[in-house]
Amino acid sequence: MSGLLHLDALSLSLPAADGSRLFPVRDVTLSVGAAEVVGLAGESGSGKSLTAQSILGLLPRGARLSGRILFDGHDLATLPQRELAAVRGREIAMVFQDPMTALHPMLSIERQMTEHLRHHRGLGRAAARSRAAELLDLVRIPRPEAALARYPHQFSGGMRQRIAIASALACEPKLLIADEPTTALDVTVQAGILRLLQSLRETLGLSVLLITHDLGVMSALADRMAVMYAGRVVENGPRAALMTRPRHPYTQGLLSALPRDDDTAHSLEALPGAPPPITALPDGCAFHPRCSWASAACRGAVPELERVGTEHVAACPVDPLAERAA
Amino acid sequence: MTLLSLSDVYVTYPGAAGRTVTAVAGCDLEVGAGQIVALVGESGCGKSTLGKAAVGLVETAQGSVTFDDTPVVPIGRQARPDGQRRLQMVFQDPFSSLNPRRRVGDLIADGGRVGLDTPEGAMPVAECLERVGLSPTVANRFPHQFSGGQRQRIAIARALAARPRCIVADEPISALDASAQASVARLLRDLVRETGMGLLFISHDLAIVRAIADVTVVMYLGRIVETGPSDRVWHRPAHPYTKALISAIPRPDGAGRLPAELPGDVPDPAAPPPGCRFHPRCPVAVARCATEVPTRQTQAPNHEAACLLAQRHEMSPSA
Repeated sequence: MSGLLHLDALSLSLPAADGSRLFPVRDVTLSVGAAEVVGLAGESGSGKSLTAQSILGLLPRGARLSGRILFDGHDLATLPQRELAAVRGREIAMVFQDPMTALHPMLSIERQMTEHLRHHRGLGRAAARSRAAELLDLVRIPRPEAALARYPHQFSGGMRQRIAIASALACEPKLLIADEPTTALDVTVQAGILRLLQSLRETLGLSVLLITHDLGVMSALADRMAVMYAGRVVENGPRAALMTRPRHPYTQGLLSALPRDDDTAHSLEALPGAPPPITALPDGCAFHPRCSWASAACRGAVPELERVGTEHVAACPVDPLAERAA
Repeated sequence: MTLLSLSDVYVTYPGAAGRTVTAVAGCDLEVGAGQIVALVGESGCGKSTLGKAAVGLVETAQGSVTFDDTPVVPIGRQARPDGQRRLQMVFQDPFSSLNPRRRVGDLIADGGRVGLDTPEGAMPVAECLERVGLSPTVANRFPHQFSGGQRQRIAIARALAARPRCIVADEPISALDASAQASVARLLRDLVRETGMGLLFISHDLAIVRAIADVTVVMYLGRIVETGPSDRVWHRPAHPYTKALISAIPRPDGAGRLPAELPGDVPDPAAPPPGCRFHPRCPVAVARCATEVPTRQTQAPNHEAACLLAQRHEMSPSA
């Protein structure tokens, strides 16, 4: 597999209280191509945010990585801190869920936007200022010149997220990691941000790693998506195939939990139970205690990702939809 | 039978520079026994304030709120009047609404203590836990030992302890993961069906609302703009705002369709636009929308919308 970003069997371990090591991210293999939007889905605690943070080296103390993080031909996992710092922020930028925490409340928009332009790009004050105004215009902030003089609290949540995106785009990154970028927003505002990300991908050729638990958002924007459960990717494939013909019982469970558009399925079939804590992962397939298709074999070995369709892999020997139809 | 009734309710807050912010500007709402009424709208539309007014957590500036035909009075330092104790509230964030230093069983028993005036007394803790799908053995644990979805179940169990006849739930599922959202929404729906209580379900998520609520009430900037049976509101929204809200929902169908954007933000409630409050953002507004205040007009049985053009713009969200 090629592409701009390629995670190859990436694992992240953290020290546990008893001296052993916990694996919140295990054997994650994932690629993001140029101008491609790849989604990473899963419930809280599934390891999707830690996977993203591993890419940027934003890790908790005591964290250890194994596997490779290939970005534009370099392995970020082994890059010295200084060189990683040059990639981070310039080549790869990140947008977080809550724009209020990503923006400094005491600094004007100009101050926070020009800082990295001057640092990473070596622009002078005036050049940085006009570039910042251009960026605000790009994310459709009305009257960008005036906006530069204002402070984050003077903008609505949606506008703040646009500013955070503009700020992330300042150094023309190749990859944008967006971690739940619309979760804190109203649907009407969310729609605007999704449209903005789509247009940035089209006009700038920006690649996006989109992390969200909202499969509706995923469906609107992602070309491909991976579903994580208890630190592992359990299914990965093209958006349409994965959403209309999910192969892993977990993916299927996530989709059935959503309210449907047709009248017949008002059911909101919830998955029973909750994801296991990382400190007490079940043996074998971590999903088996919640899975209605589980058999004795599921308690044994961890199932491998197997090819189930074109560029579509799933880590489950059962095909729930086929079984149900039979 | 109507349990909770709000009539022409206004709620005001003191705003900046001596201005008064009218968060709720003349709203009517009714919740019957065994009925789920959903209140939807964007952040800042006043839906939470209206929910708080319904249980007496904020004072109304005008209008009346009654529960079981007795007026709901704002909660002060004194104990609630007996009549109001069977009106309970569930909050959005189960991480802040449960005291982290008290055991689950004690938290639920606290909820029951306000219900002692009922003939049967408070619902036993074990029964409350079973009702929300938790094992009675968890009563000895602390809230931090549970996931978000489980905590919200505990918060619901606490409300159930008072044997409520009506619950006001303010965004009870929006802080939860998708699968937990489904299970808590289902739980609330099943509880209403089993116990015959009323539920005012405040949410910004129209897709979930449509799946569980009997009646959907849409609010915009302090006013109710549309109300009707949930299926009807979803399929044949009459107000352009309702239509915009529905079109903005991204569908998890794998089709790769971008949801429709509603440009602009909710205006400052301290200075609402004249005429129809939605007109500056409305895609179909005409000149008189800026001057005439629309009143609610009947579209179909039990279906009303406050739009001057409603009859002409009745259409499906996909149109």
